[in-house]
Amino acid sequence: EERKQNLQRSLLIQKKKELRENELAKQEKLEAEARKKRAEAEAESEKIRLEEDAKKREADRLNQQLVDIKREEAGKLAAKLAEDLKNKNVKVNTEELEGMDTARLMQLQVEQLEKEKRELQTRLKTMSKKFDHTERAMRKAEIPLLDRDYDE
Amino acid sequence: DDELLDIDFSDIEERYRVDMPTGYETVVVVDNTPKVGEEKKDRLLNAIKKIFKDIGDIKTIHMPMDSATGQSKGYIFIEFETVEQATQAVKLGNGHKLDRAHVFAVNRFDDIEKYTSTNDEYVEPAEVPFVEKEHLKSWLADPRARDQWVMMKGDEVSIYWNNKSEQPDLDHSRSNWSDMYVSWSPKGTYLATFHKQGIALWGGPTWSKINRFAHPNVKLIDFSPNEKYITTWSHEPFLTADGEHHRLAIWDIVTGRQLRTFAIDAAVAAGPEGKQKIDWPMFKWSYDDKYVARLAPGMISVYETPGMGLLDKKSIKVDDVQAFAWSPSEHILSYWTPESGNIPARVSLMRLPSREVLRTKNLFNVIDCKLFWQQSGDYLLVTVKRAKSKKATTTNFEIFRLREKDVPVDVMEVDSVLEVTNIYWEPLGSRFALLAMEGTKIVCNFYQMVPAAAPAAAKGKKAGPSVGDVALGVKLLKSFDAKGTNQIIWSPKGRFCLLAGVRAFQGEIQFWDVEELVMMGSGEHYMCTDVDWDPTGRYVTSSVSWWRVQTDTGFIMWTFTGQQLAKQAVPAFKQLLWRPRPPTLLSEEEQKQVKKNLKEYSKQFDEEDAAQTKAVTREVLERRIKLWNEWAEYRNRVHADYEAAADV
Amino acid sequence: MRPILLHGHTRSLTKVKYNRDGDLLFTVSKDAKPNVWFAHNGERLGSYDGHNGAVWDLDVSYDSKRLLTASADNTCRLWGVESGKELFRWNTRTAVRQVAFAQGDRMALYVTDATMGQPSTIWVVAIEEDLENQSDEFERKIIINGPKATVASWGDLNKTIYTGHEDGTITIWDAETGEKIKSVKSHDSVISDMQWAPDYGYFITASKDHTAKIFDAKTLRVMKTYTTQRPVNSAALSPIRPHIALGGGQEAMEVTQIGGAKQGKFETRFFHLPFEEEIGRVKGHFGPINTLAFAPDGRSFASGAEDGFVRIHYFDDDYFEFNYEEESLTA
Repeated sequence: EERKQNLQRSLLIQKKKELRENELAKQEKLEAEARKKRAEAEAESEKIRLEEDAKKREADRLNQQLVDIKREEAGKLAAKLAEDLKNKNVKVNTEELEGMDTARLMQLQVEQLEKEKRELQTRLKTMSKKFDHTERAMRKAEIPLLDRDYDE
Repeated sequence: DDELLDIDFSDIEERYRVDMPTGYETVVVVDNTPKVGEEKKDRLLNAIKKIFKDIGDIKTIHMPMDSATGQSKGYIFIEFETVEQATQAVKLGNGHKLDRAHVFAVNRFDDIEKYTSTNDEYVEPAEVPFVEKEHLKSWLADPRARDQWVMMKGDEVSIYWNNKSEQPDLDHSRSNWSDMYVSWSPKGTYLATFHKQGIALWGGPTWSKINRFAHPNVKLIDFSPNEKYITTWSHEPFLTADGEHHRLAIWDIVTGRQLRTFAIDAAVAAGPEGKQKIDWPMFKWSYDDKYVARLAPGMISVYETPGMGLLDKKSIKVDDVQAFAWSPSEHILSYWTPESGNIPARVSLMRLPSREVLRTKNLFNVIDCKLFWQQSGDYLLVTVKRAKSKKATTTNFEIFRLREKDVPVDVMEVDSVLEVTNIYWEPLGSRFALLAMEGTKIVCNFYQMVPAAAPAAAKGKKAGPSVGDVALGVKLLKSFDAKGTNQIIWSPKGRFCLLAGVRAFQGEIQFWDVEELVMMGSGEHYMCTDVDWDPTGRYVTSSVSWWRVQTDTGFIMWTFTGQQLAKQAVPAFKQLLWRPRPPTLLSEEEQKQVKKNLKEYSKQFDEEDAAQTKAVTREVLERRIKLWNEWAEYRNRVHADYEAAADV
Repeated sequence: MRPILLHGHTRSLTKVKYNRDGDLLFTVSKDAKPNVWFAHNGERLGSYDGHNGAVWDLDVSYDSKRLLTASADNTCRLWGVESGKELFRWNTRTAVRQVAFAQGDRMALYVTDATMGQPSTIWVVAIEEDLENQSDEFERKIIINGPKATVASWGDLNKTIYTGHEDGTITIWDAETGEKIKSVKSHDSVISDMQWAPDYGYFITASKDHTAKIFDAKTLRVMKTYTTQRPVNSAALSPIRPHIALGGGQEAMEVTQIGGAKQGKFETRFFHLPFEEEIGRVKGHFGPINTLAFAPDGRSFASGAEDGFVRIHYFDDDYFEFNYEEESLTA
């Protein structure tokens, strides 16, 4: 009876053990799977991170390039504007010009164009008047000659 | 105003009428023969017989003598066997130069008869009484130094004084003054009107009729540069006394006499390419009205005024001559002939009356040449077009320098991508403008002639856009995109010019100062058909003519710098023509003096202008105040009526 | 300020009209679909669906509750402004050209065209507050012998009816008896618009004869003439300034579009009323302007054109600052 009981107990233990082992194996398997998944996820995220890093670097590089181009163009424009202004004898000293940023130069350019426009208008007005007055003066001086011309 | 409604041409129609036979149709009158005494009579008659001997047998010859002086009267009657011979004698003898002082005028006796009514003897036709010279130039003495223009609107022709931006003053206006269009003579003395029966000229302060020329259905006219003669043309031929069909007549403006008529084949008139538009003027005047020349196949016929005989009795033979042009300042003819066999194409300059060839330039592979004289005759620019490929052509300029020894020629290549459209000389200057196409792009170039001594220096100085563009004596001043332009119009005073897009274009106008090479201003007159300078170069008008466009007709007045002064919408507006002015009577010295004293004048003009502006402003102000008060009164009245009605 | 463009019509505009408060703009066109818009932003509030032909005219009641439309589909219709529902319909034998509420909104008139053997006729109808009682019977009928009426409106206190005609004539009718009181021919061609001064003392007409004129209401005397180079399709009086607006043009002008212009060249032209001088132009349309209206506060105006667009323009400040010195120099 006792043996039977012992046997039963040992069987039970055995069973429990087996169960536990199974349990453990299962758990281990699960854990392994989880670990694997985690590792995969980590790898994935690492890959994404790397890709993003690469993208960012590329973008930064392009940005930098753009900035460089812009700066270069701005520089060229500045040089051109400075050249223009210098050619037009605008009273800005050369060193000061070279130190100016594009916006300031552009502003100077606009001011210059406005000024030129104003000057042209003034000049045209003076010239128109001179032309008109010359013509009228000539005519006035001619009138006595016309009279003489008629008499002949 | 009776003289207007129907200008009476009956007397001149009578004069040129083809008559029934009179029995004298074989008799001609040779006028302008030397006046000789009895002793030389036979010798003269023999000489005259000799001149006409080729025509046929002379039946009788008679030289009337003046019993008072014992001298011949200066004309001779010749009777031929046939009418044909008499006709021939008129053609051949008219304009014959016996010697320096005696150029024959040969007319048929019947024609003379018409002038002389019952008199047996030929009497000089009574000169048409014409208004005295002083009246004809009165407009030049306007105290405000204004200019005139004539405007045609519907059937109304009006002459106005230009008042800048203010309303113009009407000088004169008449309805149905012209059946077609109107035209000024080159110095502004006469206004020509067109009528079914012919041309009438008007002038003087009252715009009275000065003269008229009977030419049925006349369509085109051309004045000689000094207003001595006028050429008239009609598509429909008229019958001459000799029974021929003629289309063209040349008249003496002062006497109204018909100097000569020409048949002119309609096909010939239409030009070599059978163009519908006739090449006008067909007869080209020398600068001083002394000669008039015309192109005929293989020759240039030069006639001498007033006799209208061929210069030295024969035309200038030039095989295959394509085109010719007079120098604007000398008796020099320029013409060109195309390539033929081994003979290259040629541009030649010939002096008249000597017929001495001054210069010939040989050219190869030429398609076409065009002759452009600078206004003072210092340069002749010839554009020479050659084939580049099947479709494309290239052009170069050959510029003859007339003022230098042996007439050197500058050769200038035009950028081969350019198809030259036209060139325009600056009046009173040595610059010219070029319009060309570069693909679909329109390009305008300004050039400057460099004096003979200077080219080397000019080359050294880096002034033009590129040294490569500088030919021997031609400097490119500026080259630019001239979008929307199809015409360049120089100020009559030079320096300024307009770049305009008219007719087929949108009506854009650019105002250029070629001295400074700047565009002074720009504007638009949509659908604009014509752009013109006033004769002083102070104003510009752009206009839309009803003849071409039926909406928004009218004109805009601009300053020469491109400022719009006034816009006038004129229904049925057809034409606006500035009245030309003769050259100033002031000597160089006197002009200098005026310029020197300009300040004095200026002060006075400023005062005058200020007073004028003030007067106008006051007028406008007064008108507005009147209108404003009238309206206020009206509103008050209505309101009072309303209140009164409401009370009832 | 930038103009407000109202897209919504597919064909040329025939009439634009503000309600009394000026917050709504009603528009009709040849596309058979009247629209109503918020005037301040151009947002469409709704449309009135039902017509089967071009709509020639509209009128809106004083309280902005009811809308009348006149159509080429031989109907004149009454609509609920808010509901968009058709409330009533008068069937006619020919196209309805004009429609107008009488002052007080208890009456209306509509004008039928002279076609198919029918004379041009003015119909006066009663408008019931309660639609149950609304009848399609007319109160009065005035037959127009002679050139047909192209515009029609009520005179002061509904005592008279004013019509403008095809030949340029203007006629005053006794609204109660239907008798002709007065007739003058001061225009040389079709009268295309007639708009009243707020106090009914005078009105402005637009004509194909290239002019607009101001008439004294009582005498029909021409007080002012504004000359242009185009047929005038519409003329409006500013409610606050001595200014008038003219719209018109002819199709030939469309060639201006060829350049691919972003902005049309057809202009609303403004004139100083007493001086008859032009004071400004507003460009924008791609076709002739058919109809113009000032907003009741005078601070904006609406234009409807052949191009199918309605534009609302608010005036800049300088428009209100601009004055002729002469206006204040007077007694």
